[in-house]
Amino acid sequence: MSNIVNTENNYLTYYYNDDPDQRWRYDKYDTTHMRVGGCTRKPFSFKSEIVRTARSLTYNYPDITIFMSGGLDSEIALKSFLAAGLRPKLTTVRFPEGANDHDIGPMLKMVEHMGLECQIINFDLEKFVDSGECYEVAKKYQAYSLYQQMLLRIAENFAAPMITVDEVELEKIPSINWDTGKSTLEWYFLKKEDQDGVWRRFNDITGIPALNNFYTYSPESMLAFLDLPTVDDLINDRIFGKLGWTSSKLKIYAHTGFEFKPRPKFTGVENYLHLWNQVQYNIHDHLGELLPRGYGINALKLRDNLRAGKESLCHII
Amino acid sequence: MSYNLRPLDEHDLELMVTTAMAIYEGSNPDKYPDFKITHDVERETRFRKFFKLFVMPSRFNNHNVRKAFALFKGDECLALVGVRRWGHMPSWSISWLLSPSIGPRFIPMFRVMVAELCKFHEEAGMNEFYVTYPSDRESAYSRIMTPIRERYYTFVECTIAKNERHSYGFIHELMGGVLHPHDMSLRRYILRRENTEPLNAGGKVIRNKRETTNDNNSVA
Repeated sequence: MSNIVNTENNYLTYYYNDDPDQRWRYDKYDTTHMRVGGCTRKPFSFKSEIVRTARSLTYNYPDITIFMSGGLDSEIALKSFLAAGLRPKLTTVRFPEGANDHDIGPMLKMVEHMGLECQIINFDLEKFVDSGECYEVAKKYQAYSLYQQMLLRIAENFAAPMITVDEVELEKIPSINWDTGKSTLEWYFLKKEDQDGVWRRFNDITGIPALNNFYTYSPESMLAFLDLPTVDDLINDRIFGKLGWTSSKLKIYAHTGFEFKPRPKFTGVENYLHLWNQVQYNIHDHLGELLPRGYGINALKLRDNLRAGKESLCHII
Repeated sequence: MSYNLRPLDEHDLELMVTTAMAIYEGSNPDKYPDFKITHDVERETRFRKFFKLFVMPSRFNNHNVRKAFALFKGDECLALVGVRRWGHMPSWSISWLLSPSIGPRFIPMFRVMVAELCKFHEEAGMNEFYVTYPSDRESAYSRIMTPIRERYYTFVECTIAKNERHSYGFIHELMGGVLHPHDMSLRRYILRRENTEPLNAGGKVIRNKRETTNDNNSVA
């Protein structure tokens, strides 16, 4: 097993069948688990925590490269590195015929304005799918979605320490007690077997330090995020009509004090939805009967556990 | 002695595996085809893995989306049954049933078990359920479910041809996600309630009178 530390002290891990070392799923009857360790100290402000994360990542992986998606999450991550006095390497993915220029264009301008360089990796998604390469990657790492398969292939070729910036995803999820019919709607912290668990498997096979946790790199940064006033309002239902955190993202990141320009966010993949669907419908021929699972922990319960230094566990069937 | 349908939990896993092993040991392989639900070599491991999904501890998200029950008569375990609950419509389905009882002993036991399962799920607001069975067993199946039809409407939703996958994912899932070597019927049951029954049957439904049409004017 590789000794790559995805998160601080590996406090955030994904595994199967009650065995914290089992990173691979063998059949559809395997149970799936996520473990989130508690805080070991009192957190600083959210901004201080993410600046600390930038330092910590650079200390552990001096050559680390940030994969810039063109969105706000990676922009704030970059600004955290700069606030820490660090100038990280940057890279981004460009699709043929400028299919995602509307997305990475503003980011490239911003980076240029900052006096930084961003390496561009050209990637042909059509070719990736038509050649069947995406299914090879899917099988190799148990990756279900096209976007993830693309990132894994890029990370494979990149073969150096890198981080794809994530987010602290919060959503209001309905759940039913099937014995009583009682229905509830609660705020959950979410991670995905496909998007998050897959990087543990990638590290396992390749030994390449590919990370995907910036905002959740340490339990303290996650707690600092959950303690932000806007997030607190959100998960306590004090903002009317919200079912997810993304529409409050600008307000939330404004708490960091970093300057940024609000702008619509795309992924570039919206031009390739036909391929996305093609992979989705055919993936079962390659991954058998496995269906991807999502991990979720009640956000308020998670916050209490983080504060109390207790671990939180999520079990999925 | 009365029957008692008991919901099972993770502590009953051994009971389930032992009962299943005992039933399969003495069974006719033609009537009870081998249990090929996972790729494990040992039959016991296969049972354990499969049954575990029906008795998940409550710490699991969605832990009771599948549930197992045991029907007891006094101390004797007469049958084990697994059900799956569905969220898009409040409904449930019988996933599997294991019983050492055959022939005349099976019929009363099965009727009590289905009635108890219906009662359990009606209390949770699930007023519909699905059952699948080989199409050539239609008459036997109709007879055994006669008492249930007094309280439930029923009809065959569709028939799935042998060795074919139904094009609708939900129906394929109800079939256990596998192909069957014979035609299968999917039967749906809907609870009769006040708002489904006409006045003369004790309900509140007033049907619209059928309008008479002049066939000569109809378009062919």
